[in-house]
Amino acid sequence: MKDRKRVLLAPIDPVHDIGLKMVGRSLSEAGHEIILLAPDLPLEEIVQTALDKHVDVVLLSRTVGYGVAELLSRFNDLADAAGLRDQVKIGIGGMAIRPELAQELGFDAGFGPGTTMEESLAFVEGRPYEKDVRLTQKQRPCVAQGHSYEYLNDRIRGLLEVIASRIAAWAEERTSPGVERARVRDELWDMDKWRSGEKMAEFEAAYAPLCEALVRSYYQKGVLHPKTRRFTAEEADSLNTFLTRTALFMNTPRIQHTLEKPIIFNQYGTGCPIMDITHIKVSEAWGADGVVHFDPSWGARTEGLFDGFITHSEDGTVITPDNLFHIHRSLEPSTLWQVRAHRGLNTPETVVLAGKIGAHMTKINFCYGSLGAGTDPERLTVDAYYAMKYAKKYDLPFDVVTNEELCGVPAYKAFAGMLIVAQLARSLGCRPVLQPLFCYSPEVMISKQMEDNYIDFNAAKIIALRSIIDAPIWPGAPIAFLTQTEDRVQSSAATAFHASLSAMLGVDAISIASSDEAYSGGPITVSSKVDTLRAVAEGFRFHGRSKFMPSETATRWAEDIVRGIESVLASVAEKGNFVSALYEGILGSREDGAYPGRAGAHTVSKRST
Amino acid sequence: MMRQVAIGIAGTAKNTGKTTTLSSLMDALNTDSSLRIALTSIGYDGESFDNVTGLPKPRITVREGMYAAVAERCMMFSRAQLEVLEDTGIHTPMGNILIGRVVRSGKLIISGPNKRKDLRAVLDCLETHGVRLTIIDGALGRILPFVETDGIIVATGASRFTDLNLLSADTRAILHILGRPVLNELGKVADLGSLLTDRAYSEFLLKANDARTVRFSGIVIQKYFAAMANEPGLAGKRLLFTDPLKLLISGMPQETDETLSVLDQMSVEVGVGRSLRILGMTINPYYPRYRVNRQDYEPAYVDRDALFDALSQCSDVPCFDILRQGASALAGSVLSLLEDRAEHLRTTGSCPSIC
Repeated sequence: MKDRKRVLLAPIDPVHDIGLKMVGRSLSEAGHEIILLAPDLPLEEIVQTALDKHVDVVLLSRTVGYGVAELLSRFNDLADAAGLRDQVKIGIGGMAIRPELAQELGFDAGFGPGTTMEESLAFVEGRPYEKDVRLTQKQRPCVAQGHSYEYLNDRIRGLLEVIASRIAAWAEERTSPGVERARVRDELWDMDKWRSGEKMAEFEAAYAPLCEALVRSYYQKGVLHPKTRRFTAEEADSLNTFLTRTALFMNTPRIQHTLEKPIIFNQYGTGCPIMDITHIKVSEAWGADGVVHFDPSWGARTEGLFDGFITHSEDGTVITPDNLFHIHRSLEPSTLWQVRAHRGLNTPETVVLAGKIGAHMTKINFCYGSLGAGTDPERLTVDAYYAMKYAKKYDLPFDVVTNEELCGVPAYKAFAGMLIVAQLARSLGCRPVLQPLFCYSPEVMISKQMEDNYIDFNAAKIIALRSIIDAPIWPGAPIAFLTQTEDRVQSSAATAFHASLSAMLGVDAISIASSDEAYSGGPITVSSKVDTLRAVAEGFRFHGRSKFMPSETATRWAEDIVRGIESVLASVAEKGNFVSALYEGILGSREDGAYPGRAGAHTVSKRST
Repeated sequence: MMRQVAIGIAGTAKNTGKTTTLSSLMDALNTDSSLRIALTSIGYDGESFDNVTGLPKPRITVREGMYAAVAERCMMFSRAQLEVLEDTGIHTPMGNILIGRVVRSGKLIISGPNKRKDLRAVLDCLETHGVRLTIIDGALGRILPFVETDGIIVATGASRFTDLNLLSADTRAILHILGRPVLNELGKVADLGSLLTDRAYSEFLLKANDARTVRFSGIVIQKYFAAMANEPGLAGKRLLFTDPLKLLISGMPQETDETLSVLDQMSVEVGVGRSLRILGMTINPYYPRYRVNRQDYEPAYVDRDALFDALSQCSDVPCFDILRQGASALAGSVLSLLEDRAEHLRTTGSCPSIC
C-alpha cells in the first residue's frame, strides 16, 4: 500500500465533529493512523500535539460563524510560527468552507459541502483527486428508447389506425408555404456553405418568395424584424470569452440519485441567445440533462425564418440559423437539445433547420398547435405531417405536448389528440414521446380531482397511457404548471415534489421550470434555475427508490380517462375528416376553452403532381 | 543579479483598506517602467463583493507588463490576461501557483502562496524572472508569512475599532511590538521551540535557569509572557525571537505590549534576530455597520480627520490617508528601500540579512 500517514483530526467546534469522525473512519479503512482529538481544544494545544506526535496531516473541522474566520487564521499563523507548516499539510472542513475561504485563511485545502471521502483521502495521500466518473463522463441519454410502441388496448389501436391513415392520405395531397419553405431549406440550404459565409443565391431566390413581406425584405434588402437587433462584434466576442473560460471548469453532474430516469429538461428562451447560453451552462452545471429552445410567439405567426445572430427584448429566442448554431456549439456533449417546432407557421422548416444544425429532439403536435396556440387546424395538420417526415429523415424524436389542457381542455380529449399524432408519427417511422401535463389544470380546478392531493390525478394520467400503449412518457411542460407561485421556495418545492412523483412513476423524462418562471415579469433569473434544479436533486436524494402510494381513486380516474379517450376517438373516426373534427371541437371545444387558430388560414393548397 | 525587494501589506482586520493601499501603491510605482513589479497575495483578494458583509469591495487592476504569482483558478475568473511563464508546482486550494506576465490589463483576482515556506519559494521564483519588487497582499487575521518580506505597510482603521482611543492604543502596541530591538546572544544560550503548553513552559524555566540567553525558534503565547512577568528569577535574561512577527501573533497586541513592558522593567530583555521595516501605516475611516433590523451591513465611517490625527500621533511611523493623499509618499518609501538594498549591495557585495 502507499505510505501510511499519521493524521491528526481536530474538531475546533464545541459539538459538531461528526464529519471529521466520518473522514477518520474512511482514512482508517484506507490504512492510515488516526489521532482524533476531543472537540474544542485550545488552538495552541492542537499545534503542540501535532508537533509532539509528528503527524503528516492535520484536518480541522469547524462551522464557520461570527469571528471564526479569524480563529482559523490564527491557527495557521500559530502553526507557521511554531514550525509545523513546513512539514505538515493542514486542511479544513465545514459547511461554509469554500476554496476561496480556505485559501484566505491559510489552509492547504478546504472541504465544503459535497466533499467526497475520496477527496479527503487523496489530500492526505498527496495525490491528485480524480473526480467520480459519474461527474465527468455523463453520457447523452435518449428519451425515446426502451419502448416497443405496442398497443395494449386493441379498440383504441384500431380507431387510431383508421384516423391516422386518413390524415396521411389527406395531407399527402396537400401543401402550404411552410411545407414548401421546408423543402427549399432541406434541398438548397447547405450548412457548410452557410458556415463559410458563402452566398446561397439559389436558396435565397427560391426561399424569399415563400416568406411574408417582413422576412422577404430581410433576404432582399437585409432589413431585420423591427423587434430585433444584431449582436455587436464585442458582444459576440464576449460570448467566446465566456465559453472558453467556462470550459475550463465545467462539470456536468448527474441530478438523479439512484435511479437512471427521469431525464431532466430545463427550458430557455430569454430572447437573448447569449443570455440563453449562460442559462444553459448553469442548467448543465447543476445537472440538467437536456435543454429546450423556446421561440417567441410572433415567430410562430410569421411566415419564414430570419437569419443572423440576433436578439430582442421579448420572451422566446428567435429561431435563426445563426442563433441555433451558437447555442448548439455551447452545449456540453452530454446535453440533449430540443428545438420546438410544434405550434406555428414554420413547423416543418424548423425541424429541417434543427436537424441540419444538430438538435437531438423536436416537438410536434397539430392538435395543441391549432387548438391552443393560434395556428389554423388545416394548415398545421398539413405542416405537421411533413414535419414528421423530416423528423424521421433527421432522426429527431419528438414529444407530443398536450398544453391544450391549460386552456381548459380535459385530459382525455388532449390525450386523444396526442395519441392520434403519435400514431401518425409511428406510421411514418418516427419516435414520438407522449407528453401529458403534470399540472393544476382548469379541468381539475373545476372537477376537484386535486382538492386533496396532486398525486392521484397525475398518476391516473400515467396509468391510463400505459394501459393503452408502451411508449416513452415525458410529463411537462413544465411539471407543476399552475401550482407554482411568485414565492421561489414554494415554486421550487412544488417542482421537486412533482419531479419525485415522476421518478416514482418511472417516466422517461420531465421538464422543469425555474422558480420564478411563472412570475418573472421579464427574463427569468439564473439563480431561479438553480433553485429548482437543486430542489429536484434533493427530492431525488430524499426519495431514492421508494414509492408514493396513489389511492384507488387514481385507478378509477385512469379508467375514466381511457374511456374518455376511446369515446373521443370514436367521434373523430365517425366524423371522417380529421380537420373538420378539430374545427368542430371534438378534440377540445370552445366551451372547454379551445379555439381553432387563424394564423395561416386558407394557405393550404393541393399539391401538383 | 540584483536581489529583489518584497513588501507586504498587512491589514489589522477586514476592510482596513489593504486593497486600496495596494492599488494606489501600484499606480504610484507604475510610473517607472524600468522597475519590474510583481503582485501576489498570501490570502484571496480582488472579488467584487465581501463574502461576509455582502458590500462591494474595491477591485484590483493590473497593468500590462506587470508580473503576478497567482493560483490557476484566479486566472480563469479574472478579466486581466496573463501569459503563464512558469508553474511553480506549489499547490493551494485555488490550484497551483503560476508565474505570469500581464499581457492585457484588467481586473485580477489574486491568491498566491498562503504560507511562509511557499511565499519564500515564490519570491525566489519571481526573482529568476527579473522581478525587482514584489508587493504582497495580506490575508484576514494572518501575518506570519510576511517574515519573508523586507518591509511591511500596516493598514488599519475603523474596521478594527471604531473607538479612536482604542484604535490608537492598539496601533501603538502593534508598532511597538514590531519595533522590538535587534539583540545578539549573550552568555550561555539555550534553544527552545515554542511555548504553547504548560509542559513546554516548565521546560523553559528549567533551561532559562541555566542560561543567559534563551533563543526561541517558534512562538511564546501571551499567557506565558504573562507568567514570566511573575518570575523574578528571569531578571537579566535575554529572550531572543527570530523576528518581531512571532511576538505580534503571541496574543492581543495591547496585552502583549504591556507584558513586554513589564518584562523590560524586570530587566528581562526581549529582542529579535532581525527587524522588519515598517514602511508606513495607511488608515481607512470606513467600516461595515451591522443593521439589526435588516440583518445586513451598511457602509459607515468615522471622522476622517480625527482618525488621521489620532493615528499619526501614536508613533513615528508615517501615516497616510491614501484616498486623500495618494500613495506617492508611500511609493517613495518603497523606492528608498530598493535604493538602500542596491547601495548595500554596492558597498558590501552582499545582500543585507537585516533591513
